[in-house]
Amino acid sequence: MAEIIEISNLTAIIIVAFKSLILLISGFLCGAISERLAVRNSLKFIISARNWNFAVKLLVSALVVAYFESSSSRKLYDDEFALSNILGGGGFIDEKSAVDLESLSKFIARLLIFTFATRFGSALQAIGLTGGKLNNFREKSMNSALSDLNIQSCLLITLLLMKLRYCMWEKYSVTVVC
Amino acid sequence: MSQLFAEGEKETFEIIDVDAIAHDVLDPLKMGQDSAYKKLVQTFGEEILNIPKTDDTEVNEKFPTIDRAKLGAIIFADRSKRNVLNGITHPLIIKIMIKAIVSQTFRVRSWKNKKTLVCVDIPLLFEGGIPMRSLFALKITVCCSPKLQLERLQQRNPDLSLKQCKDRIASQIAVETKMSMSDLVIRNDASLDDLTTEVRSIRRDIFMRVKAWNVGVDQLILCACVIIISNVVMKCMS
Repeated sequence: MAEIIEISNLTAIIIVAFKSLILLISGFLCGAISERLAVRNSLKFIISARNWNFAVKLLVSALVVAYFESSSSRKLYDDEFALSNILGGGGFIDEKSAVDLESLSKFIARLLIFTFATRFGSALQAIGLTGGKLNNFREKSMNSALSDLNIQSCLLITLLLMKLRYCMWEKYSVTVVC
Repeated sequence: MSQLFAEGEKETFEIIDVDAIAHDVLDPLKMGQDSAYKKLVQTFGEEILNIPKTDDTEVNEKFPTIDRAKLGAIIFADRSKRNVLNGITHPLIIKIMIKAIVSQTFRVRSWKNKKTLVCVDIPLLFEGGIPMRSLFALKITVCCSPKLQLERLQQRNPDLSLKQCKDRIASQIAVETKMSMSDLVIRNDASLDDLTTEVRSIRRDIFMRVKAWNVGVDQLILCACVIIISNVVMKCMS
């Protein structure tokens, strides 16, 4: 259970702004990384490039939504973790079968900020073209590029940012009343 | 090569030529504040400048242009000087290139032309290290035999001596290393027809991988969000 600490309005605004910034950065990285994973088909003998691309994006979006749903919903966060409620919207309905509007609006706001940044990240997909001389030609497997360190390090940063945001949520649960 | 990529009926590439940017960066009239002109003249001296042949051009009096051949002769003979030049020009080139990538990407998207991708023709893609490589979703290396590469370089730069051409080739990363770091490899030592066929097949492959079903992560997230909200409404109503 998160400890409730009284904080000033200015501190609350700073925390909300900081959380939004982290959301924007992690959204941008999530968009860029998922697009880079989607163009590298690791199972090219089983699945076509198009379907792989769609599957990766579908998985990433499902994980993102599930994460935001579980972190926004008070019910899922405070009580036992009910997996069946995730992606079903069950976390936003309280014991009296009424919609928990605060949690739902929090979920929508977070997701919109995240999606806005994801759009930018996924749009920047330039193709690099370079040249060179050839001594011993050998076929290059497309999949070996997946082991590129860039992707792993970016993924790690995104996960750390999301974890940081989650920890902050746990410590400083802020509700700004206008 | 970039011309072959740019050509296309349904699917096209918007080409950004970094070599042209590297040329423009030396010209203060083209790049203004982004030009490396002043710093280069301060560092390498006025010996790298072109002496104006005519007296009537006011521009030449103000800015005698940088002689690329003279500058090339200095930097390809001395590795430390090459590093100094790279330290001056590379940040500017990268800045202009990133600006071009962002503006082209969003211009392409704003025109709702979903069948267009931004392709950057960049000679030192792998020499730029991890930050440079991570800018690109897919990396393509075009390679040929060393003999052919030397011939082509001499054809493109007839003012360069054989030694200068060899120095320039030697200053790049070995192609085997480039190939191991790239996603696609194109061989460019056969006829033009063969190259055209190969480029066409690679273009199709790239569009298949990058565009796929034309669905983005952002769209899927929003779809899932709508489904969840409608589920909540349905559950409350029932």
